[in-house]
Amino acid sequence: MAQVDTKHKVLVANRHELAVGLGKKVVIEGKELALFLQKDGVVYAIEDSCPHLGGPLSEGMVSGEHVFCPLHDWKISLKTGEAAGADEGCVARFDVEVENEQVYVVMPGSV
Amino acid sequence: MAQQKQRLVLIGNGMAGLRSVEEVLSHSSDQFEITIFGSEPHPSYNRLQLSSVLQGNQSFADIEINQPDWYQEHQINLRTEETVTQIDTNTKTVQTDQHGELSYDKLVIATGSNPIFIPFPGADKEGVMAFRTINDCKQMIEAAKHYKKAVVIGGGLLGLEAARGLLNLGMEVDVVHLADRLMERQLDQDAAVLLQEELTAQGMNFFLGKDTSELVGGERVEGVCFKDGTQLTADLVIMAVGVKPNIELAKNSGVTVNKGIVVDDQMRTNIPDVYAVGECAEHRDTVYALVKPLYEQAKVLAKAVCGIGGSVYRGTTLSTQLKVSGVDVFSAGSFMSGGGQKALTVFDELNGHYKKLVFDGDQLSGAILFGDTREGMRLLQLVIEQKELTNEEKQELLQGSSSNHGVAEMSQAEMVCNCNAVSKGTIIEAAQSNCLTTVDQIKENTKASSSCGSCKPVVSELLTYMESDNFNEKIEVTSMCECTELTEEEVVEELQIRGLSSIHEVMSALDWSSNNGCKTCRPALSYYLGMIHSEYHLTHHLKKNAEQQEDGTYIVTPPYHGGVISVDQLQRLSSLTQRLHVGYVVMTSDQRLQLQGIKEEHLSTIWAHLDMSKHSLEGYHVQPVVTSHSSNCRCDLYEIQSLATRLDQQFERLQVPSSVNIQVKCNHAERLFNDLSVFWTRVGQEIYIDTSLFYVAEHTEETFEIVSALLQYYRQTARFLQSMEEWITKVGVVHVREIVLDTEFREQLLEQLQEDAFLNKKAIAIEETIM
Amino acid sequence: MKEKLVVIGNGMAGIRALEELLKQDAHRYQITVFGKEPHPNYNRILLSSVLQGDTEVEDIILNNYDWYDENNIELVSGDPVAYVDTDTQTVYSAKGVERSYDRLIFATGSNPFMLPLPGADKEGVIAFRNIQDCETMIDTAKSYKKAAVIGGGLLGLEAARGLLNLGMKVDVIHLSDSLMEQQLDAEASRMLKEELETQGMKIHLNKQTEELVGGNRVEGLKFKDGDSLDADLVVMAVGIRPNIELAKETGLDVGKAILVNDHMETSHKNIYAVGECAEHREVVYGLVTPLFEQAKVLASHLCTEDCDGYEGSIVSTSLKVSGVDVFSAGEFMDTEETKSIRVHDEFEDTFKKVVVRDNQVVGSVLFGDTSDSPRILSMMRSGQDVSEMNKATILPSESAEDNAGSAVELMPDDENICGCNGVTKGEIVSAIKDQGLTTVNEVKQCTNASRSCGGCKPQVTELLSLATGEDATQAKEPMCECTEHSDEEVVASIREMGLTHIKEVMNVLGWETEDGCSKCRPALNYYLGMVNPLEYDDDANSRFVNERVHANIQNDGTFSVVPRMYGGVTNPDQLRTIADVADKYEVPLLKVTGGQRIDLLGIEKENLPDVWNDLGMRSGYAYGKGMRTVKTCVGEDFCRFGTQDSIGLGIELEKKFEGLNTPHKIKMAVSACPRNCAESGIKDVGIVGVEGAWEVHVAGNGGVDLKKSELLCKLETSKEVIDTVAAFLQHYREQAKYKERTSHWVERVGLDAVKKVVLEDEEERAALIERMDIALSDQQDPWEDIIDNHKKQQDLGFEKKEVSITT
Repeated sequence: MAQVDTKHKVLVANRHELAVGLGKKVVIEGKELALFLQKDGVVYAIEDSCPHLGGPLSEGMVSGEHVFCPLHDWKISLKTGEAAGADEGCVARFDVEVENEQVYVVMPGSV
Repeated sequence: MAQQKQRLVLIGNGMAGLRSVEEVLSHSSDQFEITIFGSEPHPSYNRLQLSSVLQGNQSFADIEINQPDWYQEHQINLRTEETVTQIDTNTKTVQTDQHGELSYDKLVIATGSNPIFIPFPGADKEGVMAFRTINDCKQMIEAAKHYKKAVVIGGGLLGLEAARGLLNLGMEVDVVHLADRLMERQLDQDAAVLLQEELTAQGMNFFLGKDTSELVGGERVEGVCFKDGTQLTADLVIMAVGVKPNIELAKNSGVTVNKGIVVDDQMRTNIPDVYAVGECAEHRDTVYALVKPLYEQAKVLAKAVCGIGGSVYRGTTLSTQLKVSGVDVFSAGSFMSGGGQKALTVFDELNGHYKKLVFDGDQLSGAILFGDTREGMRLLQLVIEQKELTNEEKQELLQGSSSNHGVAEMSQAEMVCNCNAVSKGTIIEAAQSNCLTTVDQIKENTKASSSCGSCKPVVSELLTYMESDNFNEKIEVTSMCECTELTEEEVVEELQIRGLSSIHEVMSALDWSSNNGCKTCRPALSYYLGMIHSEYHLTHHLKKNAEQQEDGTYIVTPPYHGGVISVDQLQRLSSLTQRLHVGYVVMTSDQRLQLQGIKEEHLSTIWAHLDMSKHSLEGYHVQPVVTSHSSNCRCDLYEIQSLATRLDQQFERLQVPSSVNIQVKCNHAERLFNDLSVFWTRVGQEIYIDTSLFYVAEHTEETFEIVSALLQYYRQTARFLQSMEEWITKVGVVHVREIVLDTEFREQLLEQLQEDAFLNKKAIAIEETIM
Repeated sequence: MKEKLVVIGNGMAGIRALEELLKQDAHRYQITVFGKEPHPNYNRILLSSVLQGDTEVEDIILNNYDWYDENNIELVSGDPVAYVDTDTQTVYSAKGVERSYDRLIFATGSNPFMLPLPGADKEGVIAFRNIQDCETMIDTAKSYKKAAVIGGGLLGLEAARGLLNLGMKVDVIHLSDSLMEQQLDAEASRMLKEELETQGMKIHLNKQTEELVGGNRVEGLKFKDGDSLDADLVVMAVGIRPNIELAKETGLDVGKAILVNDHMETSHKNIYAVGECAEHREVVYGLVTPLFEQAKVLASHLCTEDCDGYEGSIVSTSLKVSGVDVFSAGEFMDTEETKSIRVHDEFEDTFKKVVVRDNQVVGSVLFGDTSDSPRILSMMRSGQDVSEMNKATILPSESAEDNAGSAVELMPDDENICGCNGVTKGEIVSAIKDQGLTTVNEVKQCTNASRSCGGCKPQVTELLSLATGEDATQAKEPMCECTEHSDEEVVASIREMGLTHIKEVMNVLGWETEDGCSKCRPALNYYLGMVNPLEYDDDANSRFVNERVHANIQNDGTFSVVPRMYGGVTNPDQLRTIADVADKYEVPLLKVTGGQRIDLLGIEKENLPDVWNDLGMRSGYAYGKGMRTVKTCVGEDFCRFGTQDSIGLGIELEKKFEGLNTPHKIKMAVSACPRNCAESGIKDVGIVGVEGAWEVHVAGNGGVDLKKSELLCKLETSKEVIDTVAAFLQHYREQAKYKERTSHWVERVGLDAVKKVVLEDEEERAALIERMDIALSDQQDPWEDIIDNHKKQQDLGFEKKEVSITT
């Protein structure tokens, strides 16, 4: 049986709506994601919930390619979703595509 | 017409059995017809002090627990030199070796233990004996007159005490021990070495790691041979290798035994109406051979026998003290460090002091003292309380006070006599009120130092201290106030017994010396009457749920439970205050809103609109429960709030002996302590009374129940004006825990609380209709 | 004509002898020094610090070339002496330099002992004894990873720690079954091993090396028990042997080393020996203290001939490995004749042992806390009778009365602090006082204390603190991992260079990360705003979420809103408004807080601006590092105890300092009387009314880290109170590190120092108040600011973004 590729792109924002250095929370069908615009125009999307105690990463302080969780200062890589330093944990990350200033998140398919 | 008495039969005339009988008598002096069987031809004596007799410090008469006339006085039928041979649990009768037969309603087995006598070849020779009874003691004293060379097999507590006794009798003493250090169950290597050095200096010879193979000689023993081929000469051999519970009789009669006679938390065996206590009993897999547990068991047993429910034996934290003159050794709890435990050790060979404190996390789990054991009781207390200690406290314990923790610094609640649980305060009180001046008088009066006797020096130091100029501690055994000779306890007792229901009645019934009492007795009487009769406050107080100020206006504090206000409440409050032109509303430091400057004529409107009951603000209440939380943790703010709200509601109108401040906080919030604090932590909810941890509950419901029961028990048993902390120090945290954590008791307390609250509410409702 | 003095050996012993000599009689001799190494005299003991990266080579040079010039000493370096002609009293160097002498000193020191193992001549097998060895190790570490140190003694362990710091994997091989068995007993040795293993060393005990294997370069070790180990570098640190070849050839009497009498004279007239090459009363010392003592005696003898002789030294050892404090002296093992005092603390990992024989202290081992070492040494030297003493008097650090002063404070003035150089406490204290010294370095230069092994640095630091009243322990601590600069340095740079924004600071000061981190950015944002209150544009992105959106985030992601209610007083209208807002936005919980405000909990982020707008009240700043609330008790209006208008003053203070940014949160309270209902005793600023006056208490803390506040002053009027609070807070703002509470700050700088500036120095006080007023002049209510500013709302992400998927 052939597998159906159920991945799909979802338009989440216009790039102008995002600011460098500040996360932006979006809710896609009940799932909370945090978007981060980088200086070079790249946008990262990760799950908006710290692997530690579920702190909202979209509210965290952004330093380059890392965000610091507002609750307990865990340092999470925007690129890989992994916690840095001594902490261990990982958040889901999502592919992002930008076309004509429109920001799309590639959502994995649901079965 | 007197009721037919029940027959209580006690097998064993030893310390445990006797103590049980004494306890029974203290509860009901004429409920039972009591018979005691004892195999020895003596009345009961204090076995623990046999070594003192042997060492020549005491005479036989000194260590008798009760004189023969005591038995007569209490109409106890003492049958010495008569051994029970069979118990028929079906017909409830016992048979004896004197062809006696006696039926019982309640039977207590207190057969104690026998020394272990290892059947070495030659162990049956003359001059080979154990050290356990007065008879043994007499034989040793006799032997010392004719022979010179003694060998003690066993380097434990008993063996060393026997050895020291023989030394005093002028014998040469060799101590043989199987292990490679002395008292290996109570001491670690360093302390054991110190002990050995000290005893060697006193004149003993030690042979460690020696396994005896044979006792040699003719008719009489002449020597001891070891497996390694070496041998010692000996005219007298004492075996002191331990004891084993005496359970033959029980076993043959169908009572369940394991190492000892198996008992439950009420000291009951598997057979109805048959109990066991002391060294023959096995409780939660442990057989105790020390005096303190035995007394604790006797207490519980007596209540069970008398049908007074609810008392529970939970086991005992052990401590040991060696009674050898010139040697002070103390050991308590578990003391081998490693495996998560950490130790603080000081070893001062110069002064011959050794001190090891072992901690499990932040709790003291064990201690060994050598050379200066005065801190022993304090340390034991900490081991029992399992109090969390800060690093400073640990350091302070270590540095301790080999010198400064004298009797003057002891708190009055601190135990002097651990065996009998007699505190410093009790001793001072007894000494002052009965003009006691000697250790013996204190012993007679309070039982302090009557068991193992190791606290004698402390008692005597305490007496010296009391006579010194430095002594200015006051024990109030004084009367309640100037208006009466009776103490507060006595007054309360009278209130209950005579069913007095008003202050006036009390004063006339109890011969008050003043007409209207004074400012000390009136509030107290009012409180106690209110506690006994819920409706009492009705008729005796002006009802105003408001505080009057100097300028004649009032402050009203609406009962926003837990500091939470609903939108509806807030709307009503704002409308009302707008309408009445209340200038401003103040937020209090205990997290409530307060209306200030209220005119008297507006009070009833306010009460009506804010759903406030008109209960009195007089007396003492549980203060508004304060909460605090931090967003930085997992704690559920709503759960914290709901607990606070429920506690607030529960105790809103109820009187307490003294004001109680309660706080409910998450662990990240400011950790200040109040009378009662609940802290949310990751493991559970910690309940503190003042700064001491009382219990860690697993969930909110449990916390609510325990705090409620705790407060109710405080209400029921504390003296008027006694704070929670004073109360729990006085009655003992262990005791309160036993009550509050016991499901049955807790339920009882909660029911009583509901009842009080109900009656109170009803009374207030009636009052309100009248108004 | 001056007498001619020749010294063979340019090491610590020889030069120390010269220094002593010059001190006593600077012009008596014409001096020549021959040295084998191409360096001036350096402190060999600190080589391990160089290796560990704590010190540079230049720092351990004791006497630079200028010193030789200044003292007219001829230095022949890099040229060892080859021959001594005792008949003509002449020395000849390898390169042919020839000098005649009237007096000759052998100070040839010692050489490391190299085990004659097969393969010991391979490349990568070295000793650890001189600067060159040190440099070899540093170089090796750049290209190789695996080092093995043979020898678990003092030197070996110091070398091992150094190699660890250089990033190498280190195995230590030791023949005996415990480390430093010459200096430590079993217990201390075990603790040392544990500590070093935690630091990353691998320690192999009971191992005997049989052979070093490899090609040209060493590749590994083989042991007698058949085991083997890989290694790119093998350091042999198995001991030293006195360098006495030349002396033997010269015909001097030698035993283990050159035999000397109590005046350091050898068997030949006019020839002396000093230091590690000398054997005195059958003892050869390998430590620095005896060497200096010998130098002193020798110098005296060279000057006066008639002086007290040398009677031998009591030696002690300290291990110089960071994170490990070990001290050992004398006879430290228990024997039949000795008694000991031992204290073992498994919480602090400390072990202390003092050994006593015939009522005299004869030895000691200290691990973890060596602060008692000077006292113990002094007791050993004096032979004091200790029979009447207990552990607290012998080990002052174990005394229960820690308030009575530290071990150093309790020491008598004539006790040695610096054992190496024999500098007493009294000498150090008077040097500090007389010459106004303020740093350890100055003390070192003035007195020699801490100049050699450096082990007494903590005590010297403490003495400095005690003598000057300033905390000298404040070692530099970097702000965060992004930079090496400390907070103080960063603030100083901002001020001096006039830096104005975060990026600029990072660029100018060479930040190692591009965007900083959650530690430095908020701090920089604060410092910049504090230094330039009017010009600086606050960077919202460098603030934590609470401060950015002006509400407290809860662990469920919702926010709490606390409106300002000055002094904890509200009115019916405000209550009505709050009720309406709570109703409209379905606020799940309304709560009166411990800070006497009303908290609206459970508000969604997107509703925040509307909630603020509807409330129409100012922000309560319950979320930030700034002035929180001023708690008050009900005061004279209502309370029958109250003596002062606490609510009035509370409101005044709250209005004045509303919105002020501070290094950490500031909680204030005003109580009308000492009954202190408002908990003034545990606040950053607590005012308490007493008969006709106000007491100002500061630096309390109510948190987990409970601290009672301290009385700053007593004032009559509320105006004075407000001025004083302003001066205090501004001083705190300027001096404290970001995230440092007032309690820690005052503890660090000392209350007296604060008083001096805030109360006594009128000029500075006025300036502080003025700067405070400037800082406060720019306050705007943050809620109001956001309510009217749609752009800001968008930037700060107040709008909710929901996306639904359409396929």
